Amino acid sequence: MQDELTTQIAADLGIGNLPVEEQKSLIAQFGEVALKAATLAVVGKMTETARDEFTKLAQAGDAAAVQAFLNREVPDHESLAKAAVSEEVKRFKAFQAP
Amino acid sequence: MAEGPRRDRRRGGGELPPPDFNPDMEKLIDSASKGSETVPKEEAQSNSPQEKILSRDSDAWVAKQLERLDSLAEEPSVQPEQMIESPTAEEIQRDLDETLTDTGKRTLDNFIKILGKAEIEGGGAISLDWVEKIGIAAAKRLSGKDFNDFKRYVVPKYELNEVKDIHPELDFLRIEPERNIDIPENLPIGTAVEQEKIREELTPSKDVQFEPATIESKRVSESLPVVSSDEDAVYVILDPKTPLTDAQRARFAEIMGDTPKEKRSYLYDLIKKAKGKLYATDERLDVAGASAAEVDLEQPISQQGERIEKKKGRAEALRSCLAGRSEELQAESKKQFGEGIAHWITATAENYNKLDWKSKLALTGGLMLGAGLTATAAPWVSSAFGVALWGQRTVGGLGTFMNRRKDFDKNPESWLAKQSNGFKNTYALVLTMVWTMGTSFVVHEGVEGLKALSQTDVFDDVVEKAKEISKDGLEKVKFDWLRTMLDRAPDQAVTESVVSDTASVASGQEEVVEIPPASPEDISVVPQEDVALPPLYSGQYIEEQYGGSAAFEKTPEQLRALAADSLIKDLKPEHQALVDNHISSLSPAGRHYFNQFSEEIKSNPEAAAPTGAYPSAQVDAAIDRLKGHLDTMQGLANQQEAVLNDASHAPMSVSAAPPESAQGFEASPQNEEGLMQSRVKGLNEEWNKLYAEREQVRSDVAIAQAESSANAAQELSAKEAHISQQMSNIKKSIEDTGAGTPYGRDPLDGHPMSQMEAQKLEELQASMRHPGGSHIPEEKTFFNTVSDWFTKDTEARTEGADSSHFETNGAGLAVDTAHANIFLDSQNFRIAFGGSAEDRAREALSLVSKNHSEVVYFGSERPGGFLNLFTEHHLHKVFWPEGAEKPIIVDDATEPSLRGNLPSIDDLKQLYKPSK
Repeated sequence: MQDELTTQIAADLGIGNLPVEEQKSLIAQFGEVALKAATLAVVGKMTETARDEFTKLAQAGDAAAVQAFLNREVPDHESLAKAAVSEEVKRFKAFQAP
Repeated sequence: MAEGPRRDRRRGGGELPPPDFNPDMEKLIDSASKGSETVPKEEAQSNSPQEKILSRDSDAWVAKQLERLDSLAEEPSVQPEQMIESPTAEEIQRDLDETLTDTGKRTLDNFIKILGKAEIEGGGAISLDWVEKIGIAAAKRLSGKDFNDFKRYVVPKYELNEVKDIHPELDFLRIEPERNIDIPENLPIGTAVEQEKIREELTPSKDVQFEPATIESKRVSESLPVVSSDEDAVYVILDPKTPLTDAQRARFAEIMGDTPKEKRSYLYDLIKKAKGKLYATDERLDVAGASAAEVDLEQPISQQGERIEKKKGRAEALRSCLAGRSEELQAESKKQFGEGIAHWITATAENYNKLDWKSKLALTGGLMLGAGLTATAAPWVSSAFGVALWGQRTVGGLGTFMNRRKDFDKNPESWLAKQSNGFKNTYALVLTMVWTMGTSFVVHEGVEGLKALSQTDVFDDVVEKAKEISKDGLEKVKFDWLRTMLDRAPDQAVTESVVSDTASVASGQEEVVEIPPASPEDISVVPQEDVALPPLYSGQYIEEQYGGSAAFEKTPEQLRALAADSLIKDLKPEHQALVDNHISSLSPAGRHYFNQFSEEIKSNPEAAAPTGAYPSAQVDAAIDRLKGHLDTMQGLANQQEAVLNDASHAPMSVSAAPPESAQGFEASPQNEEGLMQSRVKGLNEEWNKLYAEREQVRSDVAIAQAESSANAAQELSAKEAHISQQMSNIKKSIEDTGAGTPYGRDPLDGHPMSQMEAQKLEELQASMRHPGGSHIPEEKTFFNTVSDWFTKDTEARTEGADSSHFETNGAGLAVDTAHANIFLDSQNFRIAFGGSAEDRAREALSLVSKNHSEVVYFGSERPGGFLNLFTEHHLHKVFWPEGAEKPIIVDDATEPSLRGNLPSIDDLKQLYKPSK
């Protein structure tokens, strides 16, 4: 399962022809970028007050509360995150273009 | 090399900054060029190497030293008379210039550079170990005269003359007799007295530890004089500029193994060990080391280097790209939202980076799945998206369950190893549930907590932490209760269960099953009254008694709990709705028991008190259900064991005398039925065990045949035949009982999937999602849909919720795929796999027929498939043609007209739609 997923993600990122260990390293690194990009995209849609509240909730670690908050404050947060991650993928692949 | 206080040899001891030899290259070169000039104590003390070196720019310093070294050839020695017995630096340099090959010169340059950089990076504390290794690394590229000249330069300069006597690995530093150089009394550094001190200090001590010579290293040294250790061999072989001799290549093959894979593995390990030590300062080797696994020893060295550099270069570039982008995003967050958000995002990224690979993969996969880029990704990663973005719950309940379940089988020493599969399944499910409830703890404690919880000893940690964070005491009560239940020693649990089950059955009297409360104040754990119920609750029995297989949707304990809960008057509306929903879904048999329990509770509330579950009704309901399963299964397992023990001595008969272990087990009609069920269950389990074993043997036979191991194949074939004979005997025994074929697995084993089935499901999900996994598009789509349903359903049930299971409307589902047959209903998911297509079809159909008289079939029509077996199993054939409003039941006469007219996915979704 893991190998399959690794292969798929590597293919999506255009790094399928690298050694597996390199693939894993890059996928892990890309995850950090994707996480940041998605977070910024969602946080960017919040008001300052909402951002403060969101940060507190997130730091408290109550995932359910975070989810509920996002559903209320940024209803399209999943779409935003998707778009942000997609953009990062494109950017990463563009970097690799000859 | 052990670190420790270093002594200044030149000044006769004392813990001082200067290392085992003078690390200050300026002074070394000065000394070499000026003869016996010693380092003034005052200067050494007042201007330590560390102070000087740390203040330098390393590259500039190295360049400067090289320049100065070059200039030695031009500058006359200041005091040549002091180097009578040893060549002066000038002589050495001239000699080297005249005699060294280009390779030798390059090596010497590298040596100086490495030494200089190492000195700087080590804060001026170059140990003798460094000299040893660097000397080897440098000298190994030389041979013959070059090498001897090199030694003449290095040995006196770095005081290595005695080292080689102590450490055989440095024997290569021995200078040839005709050109041997005795260390003069007045070495360039140090006096005679100081030199004596040096000799003393060079003996092995805790400060200067030499590795003992090994046979392997000696052999290497003998056969490859210029390669003194395995690491050196790696260095040489990876050096694209140094072609290997035939002797070296042969020697490497001897050391590393014959196959390229062995060689690569060996190289990779050695390079990994060497990285950060010897070669940390050599960028080129670092590159080569990181790509060691890619080295193809059969290729020309030059091609290896190119390929390694190319791939390494690309990966490095991509890493740099991502690192740069990460920094950009970080800066962007700070610019847009200020320090607070930026700091939090940094912390989030740090948390992410602490995750293990699997969690990172899940999270990244989830993010990309959300981006629609990996539409065919495995379903478990979907849970990583969304909440997991800012929480840490990257592993879903199903995965947790699977991990726990596998742990049990991996550890034969565990007390669980002796338990039945059903018991282990339930135990794993309980742990999973605890884990799920402990999620609030996990997200509170962050990633470290998650990692800790992923360990085998998760249970106690979760319980303890969950109690700590309990807000209203209810959680504490639940966990204490749960822990009390699970902490019962296995033997004790078995004994209790046997006594309670059998005694109550035998006497027909009320029997109290005592579960010791965790603490005196825990009121939720109360003795439960054992009601006179049939000892076994199979679908078949219930159906016979009450005409409704759905009665088994709940155990008696669940029904009792439901009855108790239904009597609570002040439930919140949503909890009341939950209870009502359960009650309304009961079959006539279930309602019968429910009503019976309700009356009992009304008449004697303390004997069967409400669970006190609400407001956490779902969780408590799940606990009750699990407890019921656990006790029921344990009772079944005990009885089964007794039956099986007896079966080995007595002919199979429903009237067989009860075994001694089943104390007081009287052969009443009810008990006869139970005994029969246990017997069939045991035989089925045995058959399935043999089936799995036979599959393994068949696989081994194929391997043996492929490897042309005739004897092994013959032995395995004999074993297979023996197993088949055993299976045949069991099958006949089962058929003699009138319980059908042995292919079915008892649905009472406590959990939707066995471990083997779970593994198979994972394989199937992988294969079916693979582009070439199935040649039937509909089959692939359908399988994915069903497995997604299953996953969601299991996750929901693992969460302790009953609200999302799939209503089957009394019909079973059979799916005939190219690889396996699966069967699904509201309680079970089964996979039949292995063997022939007909075997699988029979097994799947047998499973379906256990609980269902109607079957929805989906699959391709092929010889030996399901269709030919319907009549055999006396099942209605249910098809749902495209466009039809409802499924139609066909018989043998209509079947041909329906072939190829399979139900659509939408229709099946309608049939198997979630209840909520």
